[in-house]
Amino acid sequence: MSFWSSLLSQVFLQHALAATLLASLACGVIGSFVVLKRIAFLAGGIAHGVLAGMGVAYLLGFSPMLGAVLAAVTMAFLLWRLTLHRRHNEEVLISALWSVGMAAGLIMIAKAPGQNPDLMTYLFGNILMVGHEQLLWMLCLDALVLLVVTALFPALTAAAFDEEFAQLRGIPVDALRLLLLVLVALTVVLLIQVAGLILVIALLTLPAAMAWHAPSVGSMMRRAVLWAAASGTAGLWLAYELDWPAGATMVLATALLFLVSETKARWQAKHQ
Amino acid sequence: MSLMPVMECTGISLYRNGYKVLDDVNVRLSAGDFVAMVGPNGAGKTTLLKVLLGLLEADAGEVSLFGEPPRIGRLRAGYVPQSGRFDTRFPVCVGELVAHGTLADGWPMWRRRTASQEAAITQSLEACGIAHLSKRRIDSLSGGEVQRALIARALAVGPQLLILDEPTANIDPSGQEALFDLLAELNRRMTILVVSHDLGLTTRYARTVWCLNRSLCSHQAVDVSAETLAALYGYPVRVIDHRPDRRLA
Repeated sequence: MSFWSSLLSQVFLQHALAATLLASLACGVIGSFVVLKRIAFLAGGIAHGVLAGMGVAYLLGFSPMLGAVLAAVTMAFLLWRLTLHRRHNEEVLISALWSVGMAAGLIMIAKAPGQNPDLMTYLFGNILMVGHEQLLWMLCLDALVLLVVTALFPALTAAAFDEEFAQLRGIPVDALRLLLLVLVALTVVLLIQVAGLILVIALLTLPAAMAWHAPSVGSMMRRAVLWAAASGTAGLWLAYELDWPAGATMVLATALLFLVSETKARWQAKHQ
Repeated sequence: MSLMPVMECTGISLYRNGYKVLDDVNVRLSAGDFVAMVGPNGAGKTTLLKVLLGLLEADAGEVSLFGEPPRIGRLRAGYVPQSGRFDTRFPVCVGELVAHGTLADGWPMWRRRTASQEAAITQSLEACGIAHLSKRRIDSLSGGEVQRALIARALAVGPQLLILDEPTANIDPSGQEALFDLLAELNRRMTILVVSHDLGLTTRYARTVWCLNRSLCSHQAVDVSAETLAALYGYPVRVIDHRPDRRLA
C-alpha cells in the first residue's frame, strides 16, 4: 500500500503526520530567531542536555516528557544567567552543559530501576510511536510559543536586530533573552518527539535558513513553517516508501531542500 | 536656552582588564551645541558614549543626562551606533527598522502602532531623505543609505540629543559631506554629539571639539590647531579643508 492510501487507514501514520505539522509550526517560528540570533550551538546544547532530565525522570519514576521540559528550561535559565554579564566564554559553557547533561542522563538511565528504556528513541526520535498524549503536549507547546511570540513580536524582533538600541528604548532585553531561550528549549523538547535530540538541530535551523531572503521577520517565519512542513512531510513519505528510519529521513529531506534552495539563491545572485 | 546642561560628566574613570580606558573625564554638553569627539583608535570614544547612555557602568564618577541618571535620561536621546556592527542580511526593510525607534518604554508591546508613531516614522524618513527607500530591505542599500536609515531610527525616538558613533566610516567623501549637512540641519532642533575621524569635516561643522585620549579636553572648534591634534594623535596631523572655495583649481 502506498503512503497516501495508508494515511487514510493507519492511525499511527496520521499521528506521525500531525506531529510533523505541529512541530513545523514551532520549528519555523522559533527557528527563525535561532538563525537570526545565531544561537544554533546553544540550541544544540539544550537539546543534548535534556537527556539529564529524562534520566532523572526515569530514576524517580515520572514522565520523561516532563523531565525533558524541566531540564530544557533549567538549561535555558543556567545559560542565560551564566552569560548575562560576560559573554566571551559562552561556547565553553555551552559545550560543558551539552556533554555533562548527556553524561549525567546516560548514567541515570543505566542505573534506573526496572527495564531500561530504549535510548535510541530519545537520541534519534520515533515519530511512528507518537500517541494522543504526546500530540496534546505538542499542541500546548505550539500554542504557548505562538501566543508569546505574537504578543511580544515588535520587541523580540527589535532586540534580535540590535539589542543595545532596544535597551535604550527601555525594553527589558535581558528578560526577553531569557524568554527566548526558554521558548527555544520548549521547541527543542517538542522536536525531540519527531527527530530525537541529536537530529533536532537540523530541523530548527535549516527551514529558517531557507527563508532567510524573506522581506520581513514575519514572512521569514511563515515561509520557514511552510518549508518545515513540506520537507517533514516529504521525509515521512520517503521513510514509509523506503522503510527508512523516519527522523533521519526527514532530516535528510530537509537538508536536500536546503541544498537546492541555497544553490538556487547563489546562482541567482551570480546572474543578476 | 536653559541653564541645565544636556549632559554632564564629573570624574568618570573606567578600567577594563586592569587598564584605565577612561581617566577622570569631566565635561558638560550645553543644549543646542554641535560637538565632535575626536581621538585615536582605542582612545575610549565608544566606551565614553556607552557610559553616557548608561550601557556601561563607570568605576568612578557621575553622569547626568537631562539632569537625571542615564537610565532615565537616555529615553530622550537618539543613538546611532557604528553601522559595521549589524548583520545587514537581517530581513528588515527601512520602514520597519525606523519603527524600532518608536517602541515604547517597558511592557506591554502588543498594541497596534498608533497614528503618532506612524507620523514619527514618516517624518524621520523624510528628514533623512530616504522616504522612497522605506520598502527596501537593508541589504540592498549603500553604506550611506544604511547610515541614514540608522539616523532616521534614532530620530523616530523624538530625541533632544542625537549621539552618533563614526557615522561616516563606510561612506565616500561626497556622502560624508552630505551627512554632515544633514547633521547641521538637525542641529537646529537638537543637540548633536558625533564621534568622527574626519578632522577636516568635524572642525568645519562642529562648534565644540572634544579631544579624547583616555582623558578629555574640550575646545572651541576654531581653536583646534595642528599642535592640539598632533598632541592628541601622537604624530603630526594635517587638517584638510573641504570647503569648495579652498579647493585647488
